[in-house]
Amino acid sequence: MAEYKGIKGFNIQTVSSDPPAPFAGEVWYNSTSATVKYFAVLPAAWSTGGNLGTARRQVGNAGLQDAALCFGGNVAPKQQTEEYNGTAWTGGGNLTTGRQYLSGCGTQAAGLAFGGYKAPGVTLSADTEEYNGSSWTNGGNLGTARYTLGGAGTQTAGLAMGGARAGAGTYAGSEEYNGTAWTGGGTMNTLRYRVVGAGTQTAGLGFSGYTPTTNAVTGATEEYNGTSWTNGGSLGTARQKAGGCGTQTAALCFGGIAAPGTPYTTATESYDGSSWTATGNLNVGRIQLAGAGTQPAGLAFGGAVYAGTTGSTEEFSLGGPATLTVGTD
Amino acid sequence: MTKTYQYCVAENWGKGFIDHNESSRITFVGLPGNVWQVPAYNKHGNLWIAKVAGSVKTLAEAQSIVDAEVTAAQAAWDALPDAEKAPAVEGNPRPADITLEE
Repeated sequence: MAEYKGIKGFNIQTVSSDPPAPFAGEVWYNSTSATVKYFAVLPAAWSTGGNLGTARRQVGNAGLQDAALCFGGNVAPKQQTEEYNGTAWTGGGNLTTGRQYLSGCGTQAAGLAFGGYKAPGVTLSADTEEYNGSSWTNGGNLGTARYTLGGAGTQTAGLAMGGARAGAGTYAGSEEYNGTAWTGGGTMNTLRYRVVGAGTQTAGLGFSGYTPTTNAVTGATEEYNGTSWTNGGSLGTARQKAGGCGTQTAALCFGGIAAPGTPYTTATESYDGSSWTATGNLNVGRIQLAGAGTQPAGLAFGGAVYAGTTGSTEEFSLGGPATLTVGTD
Repeated sequence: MTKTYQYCVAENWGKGFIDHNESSRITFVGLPGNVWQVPAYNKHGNLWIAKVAGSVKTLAEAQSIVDAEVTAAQAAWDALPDAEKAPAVEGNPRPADITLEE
């Protein structure tokens, strides 16, 4: 068996503490911890987080990677709320109105839930609810009841975009919430539902989805300035039923499905304000999942896998320099 | 024939099941029945299977587990009322068969 010295021409250095500024590829033996370590620059990737207590899909979402909120979804009574702390999910206060295919925004301690549908046969919801970290209270109703819509912003400055209105077709309009009531906003250029939202009310982002008028999955991305929508760079993989998070200039899109009959995708792309770039893939391909957090620290949770729903949670990080342990004496 | 993938059964316990280092080095595919596909003849894949105490399965064994899960999901879907199968706009497709690769 080849020895390190035979390959590299020198022995692994023995040190009592990790070097303060190692170079990429440097290997050393830490005599204090009795471990062989090396320094690497890791690429962006998803790792597993704590599983949802209730596996489900079509949920609402809010918050950050280490302080996220998951609410509603397809599992009766569709009111369940769970809070994530970066390690595990714990139960929160139930939604007043149970529903699925809803959207959300805000934070774990100040979340907003809106839209969705309540029951089989599509009873649409315009209901808006505000979360204070422990319970939900009713807010002003959406002007247009809809589901599979996108959401962005905060509890007092929320943004709803796109979505579907049963019997009335797909909706391209957006609405803005001020903490009390919704008012009409700009109309998206690409009519769609199953759209993902990110960003804020005055710097919003909408991407992916399905346009029934052309019977096409879309990768179109649009940017909102508080008044109107303009086109941004398109996703490399057009898709629907995806998840996303981040801001208008630093977003993530992950999962979903590109076309009927194709595998649920694990593809993840990052947006820089003008174009999307492929980055580390999800470990579990899924559709109808939700996202929270930022581009450098994103969170994916729930969704539908091939044989049912999943409670799987994944955490995205950009990677970078890291000291890794090879082995221990 | 040289195989591209190997399969194991391991329950995703959550945080730490797949860490950033592992995910950045190998491609994981999570499948029904807690079946995981990882690259074959790959040190990092082998180390991960050992870490999660995965039960290594042959292609046929893994396919059988996945098939059982998909069949059960299809039966559950078939038993749904029509309104659940085809909501007016949002699709709820019947779970599709999955064919694993060598």
